Amino acid sequence: MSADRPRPAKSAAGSTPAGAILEVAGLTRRFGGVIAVNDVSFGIVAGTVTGLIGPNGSGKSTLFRLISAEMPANSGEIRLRGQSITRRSASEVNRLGLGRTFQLSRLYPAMTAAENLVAVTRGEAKHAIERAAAALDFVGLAPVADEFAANLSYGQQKLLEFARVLVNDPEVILLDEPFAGVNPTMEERMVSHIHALRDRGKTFLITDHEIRLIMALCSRLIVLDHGELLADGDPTAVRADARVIDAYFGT
Amino acid sequence: MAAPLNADQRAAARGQRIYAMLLSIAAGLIAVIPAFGSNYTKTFVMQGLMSCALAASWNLISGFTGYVSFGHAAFFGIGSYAAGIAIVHGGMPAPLAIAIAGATAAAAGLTFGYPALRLRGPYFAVGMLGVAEAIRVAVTVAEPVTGGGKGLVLPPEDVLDAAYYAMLAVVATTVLVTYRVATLPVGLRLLAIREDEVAAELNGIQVTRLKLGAFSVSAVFAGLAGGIYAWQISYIDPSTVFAGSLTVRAIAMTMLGGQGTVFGPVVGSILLSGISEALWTRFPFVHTALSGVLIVAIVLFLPGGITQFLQNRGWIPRSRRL
Repeated sequence: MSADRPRPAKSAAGSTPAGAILEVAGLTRRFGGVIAVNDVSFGIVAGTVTGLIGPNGSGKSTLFRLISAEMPANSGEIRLRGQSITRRSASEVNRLGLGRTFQLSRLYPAMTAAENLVAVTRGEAKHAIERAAAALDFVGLAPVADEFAANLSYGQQKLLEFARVLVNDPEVILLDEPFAGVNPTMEERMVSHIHALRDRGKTFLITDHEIRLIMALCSRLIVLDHGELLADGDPTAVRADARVIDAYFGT
Repeated sequence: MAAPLNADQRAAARGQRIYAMLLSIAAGLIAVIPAFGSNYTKTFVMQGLMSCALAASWNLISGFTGYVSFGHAAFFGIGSYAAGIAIVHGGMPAPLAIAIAGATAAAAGLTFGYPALRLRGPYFAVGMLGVAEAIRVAVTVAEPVTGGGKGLVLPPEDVLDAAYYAMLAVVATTVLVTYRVATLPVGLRLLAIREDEVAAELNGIQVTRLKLGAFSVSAVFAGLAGGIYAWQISYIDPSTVFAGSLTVRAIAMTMLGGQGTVFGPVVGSILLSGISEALWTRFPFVHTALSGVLIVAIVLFLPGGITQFLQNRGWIPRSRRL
C-alpha cells in the first residue's frame, strides 16, 4: 500500500482517495464569530506522510484538536478506517489508533521519561515497562530514561513526546510542529524516525513551518488559509501554486 | 548490577535504612500502645490515627490526581452517621455497622464524584466544600433519623482498645492500597491526570473512570474512619463530624508529609499531631496560631513536603519504582 503518487494541486475541495485511513468531511469549528475551520474535507492514505501547512491562525492546530477529539466540531465528520469517530471521547480516539503530539510539549514534568511512557501504555505492567523501554530506545532516549521530563532539553522533550505517541502503536500519527525549536541533529533524527515508521505502514499528518523539512518528508501537502482548504496535492505543485505563494510563502 | 556504590549511593542507602527503621519503630510503638499506654495516650494516638486515615485517604484522590477536595470531611461524616444509624436504629453489631459506613461512603463518593469531578482546580475544591456543607445541613434537618442538631447518642461501650486497632487497620489498609497504586502503572496514570489532564486523556488514559475510582476508594476509607469514630466516641453531631477543620487537618498533614507519596500522610500526621499536642500543652492560648505559622512555613520552604524533600536528596526511596 505505498500508492502515494504525486497528484496535481487541486483547489478548494480536498481529495479523498479511495481506502483512506483517515477522512475528514465538511469539518467546521467556530469560536464565537470566528470560523477557525471552515468546511474542510480530505482523506489520507495509509502509509503516507502528509503535510498540513498554512500561516499562523489558519486553523491547523484547531483541525488537529478536532481530529484528536480534544474539542468537538460544530459540524462535519471524521472517520478512522471508515468508522466515524466524530462523537468519540479523546481517550477513545487514541485507543482506536490515532495519536498526536502537541505544538508545545505537554509531558508530565514531575515524572521520569520512562514513567511518562508507562503511564499511557496499555496492557499489563510488565509489558508496559518493556514497551516503554523499547520506545525510548527507538527515539534514542534510553540513556535519560530515569531523568525527570522537566529536566530534559527542549529537543529531548519533543522526542519523548514522540515516543509517548508511539508507545501504543497507533496507525495514524498527528505531529503538531515537531521541528519547532529543535536543533539540526534532533531534526535529522526525527525525520529518520518518521521515514522508518512510514515504511512500516504508519500514517502521518504533520504541521510545521520548517518548509524545507516538510517538502523533504511529505508526499502530499494540504494548505489551510483562514480555516479553509486552499490547496491539496503534490508538494512541488502546491509550492508553485500562486494562491499558496500569496497566502503563505510570500515572494 | 553489582557495581560498588559511590559515596552518594552509600549515603542514600544509609538514609533509606534510617527511614525504614524510624517508620518501623513508629509502627511498633503504635501497635503496642494499648497494652501499656494510659487512656490519655491511647485517646491521643487514636486521634492521630484518625487524622492519618483522613490524610492518607485524601491523598489517594487529591495527592495523586491533583483534585484538591475541601470537602473530604463529608465522607467521614457520612460514615459516622451511617454507622451510628445502623447501630441505634438497626441494632446492628459494630463491625457490620462500620462496614455499612464504608459502603455508604463509597456510594456517596460515586454519586457526588460523578458531577463534581467534571469541575477542575478551585471549582472542584469549592464544589466539594459545598457538597460537605449540603450533607451537613441535610443530616441536621433529618432529625427523626439523625437526631438533628442535638446529635445522635450511641449505646456507650468501652471499646477504646478495639476501636484503636480498627483505626490502625484502616490506616494500614489505606497505606497498603496507596503503596499498591503507587507501584503500578495506575498510580502513574493518576499522576498523569495531576500533571496534565488533557495530555492524559489524549494519550488514551480513561481519566473520568480513574478519577471516579480513586475518589470512591478514598471515600471508603474516610467513611470507615468515621464509622469507627462514631462507635468509639458514642456521640456524634453534625458540626463535629462534618467539620471543615477535619479536612484542613488532613490537607495540612498530607502537604507536610508529601502529597502523592505513600508514607507522606503518615509522616505528616505523626509530626503534626505531635507538634500540635506539644504546642497545645505549652502554649494553650496561641497553639492554633503557632500551628498556622508552621504550616505556612512548610508550604513556603518545603513545597513538596518532607518525603519529597528527602526523596530528592536520595535519602529515602522514591514512592514509585518501575
